[in-house]
Amino acid sequence: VTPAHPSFLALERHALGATRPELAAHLAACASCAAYVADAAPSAAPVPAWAREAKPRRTSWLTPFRSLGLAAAVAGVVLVGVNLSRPRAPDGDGVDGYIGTKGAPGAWLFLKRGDDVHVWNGNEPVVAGDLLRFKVQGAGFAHVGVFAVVPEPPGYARLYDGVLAGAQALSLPSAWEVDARSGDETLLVVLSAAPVAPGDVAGLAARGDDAQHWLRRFVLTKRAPGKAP
Amino acid sequence: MAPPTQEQVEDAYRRYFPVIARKCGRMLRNPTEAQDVAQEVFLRLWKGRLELRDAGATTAWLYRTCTHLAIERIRARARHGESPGELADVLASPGPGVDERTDHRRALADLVGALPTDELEAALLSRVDRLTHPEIGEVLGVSERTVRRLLTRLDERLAAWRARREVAA
Repeated sequence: VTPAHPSFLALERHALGATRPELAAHLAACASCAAYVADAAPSAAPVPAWAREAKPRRTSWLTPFRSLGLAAAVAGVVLVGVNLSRPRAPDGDGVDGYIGTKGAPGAWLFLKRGDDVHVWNGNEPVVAGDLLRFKVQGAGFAHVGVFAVVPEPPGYARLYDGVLAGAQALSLPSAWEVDARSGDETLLVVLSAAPVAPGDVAGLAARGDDAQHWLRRFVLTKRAPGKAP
Repeated sequence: MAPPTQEQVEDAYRRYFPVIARKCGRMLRNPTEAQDVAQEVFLRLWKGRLELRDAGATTAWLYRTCTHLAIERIRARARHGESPGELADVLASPGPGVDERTDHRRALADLVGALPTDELEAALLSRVDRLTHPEIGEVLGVSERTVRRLLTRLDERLAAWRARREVAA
């Protein structure tokens, strides 16, 4: 601890309006701390896209989704059936909408549009207002992460990070709403032995699956509202 | 509680992201890595549905979360044989000479992997962020007595570690 100066926490609280009288006296006499407070003041800079767009909604459709438990279970059964009867799309082509066999790692994207909830088929365009939620099967992997491709700065932003336990498939507690901006959305589900940092995702995606990681990419094409599918 | 509006998210970003970015920048010297962690903290900030008008509580939460995620990041790097450079200054000063740098890096990586997380958190908050013991207690949600115990134990571990290295040398 440097007794001559307040902590960075105290200075930042002062910049945010939560000040203490003794701190004001120190700032009047200390140019370096006063400069730090000035720099720590709320920024007027534009808000980047990753902060605006990564907007998880925890409760908005969880409740109705739970009430559709039977439908979700049916969808899961259909999913396995579809998966077993259809060859999996090649890795890297961005169309693996439904993947997985019993006892193996898997990731499924559920799409809620209005009152309808169904498994995304890998090609179906999404529209603003659609709600997205993942269900994953860890099959021995201890962690799950959901990442979104972000343009500024280029890379991945983590939307969700959680621990997996048990062999049963798990619906993630977060859901995301498709916004009205144009352009595709790319999401990446990563099952792993340990938490994965956003900065490591690009490298993992380039290398592909290994004993410690299992990745699936979901590229969602956006359709303009009101336009026919 | 209703989901945050776009305006609330942007206000939270302008208000708190500078704090998050500075805190992460102090702990992680790699700007890309610091930015990654800062983004993660911001996303967690309003996923956690905090009452953002309370700057005291929010900044305490930010400091705790930033510190925890930075330690995770440094440990992950150490597991891959990279230097836990940011912690070297905190844990093992003075630094090594050129001849012993590789060995020192490996030893530090082992040390970072072995030290309890709460002791590392207290050390970073004290020695990097200059927090007082009451402030550390507030951030970590423990008593001042516990903070003192954490820092004392860490110093004891570091003294023993340095002694072992001197003997080995």
